[in-house]
Amino acid sequence: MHKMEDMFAKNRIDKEVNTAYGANADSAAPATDATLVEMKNSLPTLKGIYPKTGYAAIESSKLYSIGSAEAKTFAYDTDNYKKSNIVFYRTAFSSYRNLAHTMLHEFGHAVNFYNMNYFNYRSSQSASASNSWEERQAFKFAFDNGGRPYQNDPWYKANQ
Amino acid sequence: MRNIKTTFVLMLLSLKLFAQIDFPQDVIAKNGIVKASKYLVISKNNPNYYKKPAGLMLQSETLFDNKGHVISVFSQNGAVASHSDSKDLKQYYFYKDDKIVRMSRVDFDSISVEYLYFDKKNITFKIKTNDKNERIGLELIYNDSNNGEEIKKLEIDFHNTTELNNSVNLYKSTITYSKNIKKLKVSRKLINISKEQLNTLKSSIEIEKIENELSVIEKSTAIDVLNFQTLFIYNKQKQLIKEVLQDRKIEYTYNKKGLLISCSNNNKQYSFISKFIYSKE
Repeated sequence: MHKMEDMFAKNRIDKEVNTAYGANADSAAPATDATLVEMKNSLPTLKGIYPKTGYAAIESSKLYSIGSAEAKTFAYDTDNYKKSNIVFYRTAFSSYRNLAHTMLHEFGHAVNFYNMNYFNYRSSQSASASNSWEERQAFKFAFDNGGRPYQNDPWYKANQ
Repeated sequence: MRNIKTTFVLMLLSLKLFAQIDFPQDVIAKNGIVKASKYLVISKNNPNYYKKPAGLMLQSETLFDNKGHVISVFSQNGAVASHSDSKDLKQYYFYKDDKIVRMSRVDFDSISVEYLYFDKKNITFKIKTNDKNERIGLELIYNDSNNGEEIKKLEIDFHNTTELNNSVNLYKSTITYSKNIKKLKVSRKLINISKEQLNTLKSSIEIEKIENELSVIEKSTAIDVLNFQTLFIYNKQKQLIKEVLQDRKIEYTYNKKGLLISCSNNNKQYSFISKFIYSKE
């Protein structure tokens, strides 16, 4: 259980977006790879986490979304899931702020793949149970690294 | 049907496109092996421990033809994506005159890679296409004229270019060999390219034209640059025994039961053991 003051303290990703993008923080961001790189390098939290993803490939997609997903992190058994490819769909670029939160969440997936937590969990669980666990882990990772509270997020609830 | 299981030790192992394992073709063919099953060794705490084969959980199956070529790899639920159910991962390989000419991969989408050989230049040219047969990437592999070993690779990935996004990832790999060590240095650059350059990459099969275009792109100012290095260390039998990356190492141990793989990183310890079992049926 997180204390209320911890929750505000952990909401630092918003502060970093405000610092980096100022008045544009809530404006739409160009849906390009260059925007992703700029954000990854501009926000101290994302910059610090990125190496822990194994320097995952990050890219923008011309698709608006896949279902209601604004981004997806892909990993494969042939690589023991330790190498990720993160794709951001155009709805993720609705604002710099939304993109920052989305990147933080997907980086959580990539870190969990790279450090092989997912592989280890999957070794004793079904694919379906592992994927739900992986989703919950990404929400927790984002919150622990300055993201939003997640208990009421519909994606989180769907994977509880 | 009774499975005849054998315990041949893998002679060679290296990571290739889509991390395909390089099986010892001569051993596979000579012994009539048709399948290699990759298992994860699991503990007694795992609820699946007593399912046959006990203590092992199937990860993937690789099938071979009678010449020892890999013809397919299947991994149930082997492709994972956040916010999605897993998909089966299937890879198929096609050969002509003992050389691979095409591979296809099906998981969340479908990708094919065509292989063209320019023997006079010691170049293997790989063309990656999507399920609409549109080019989405290219790779040039430069081989040593004396021994055929790969010495340089240039790979460009342009599958996500749009009218708004003209960035491509260019991977330049240099490979050097010394005694029992292979050193792989990879530089990944994100670069903006022009429509004309993209058109050339998407349509040309003139190797010189592609080489020239890649050379120009490589010299362009990059938006982002990342450098990686991996050391591959082999034993006297030329078996891969260790991979050393920036923050982790992977060790390969060969014994009568097969191949054991263990990983550890500098910050947090973890390990797993995978085992390959060959069968003739």
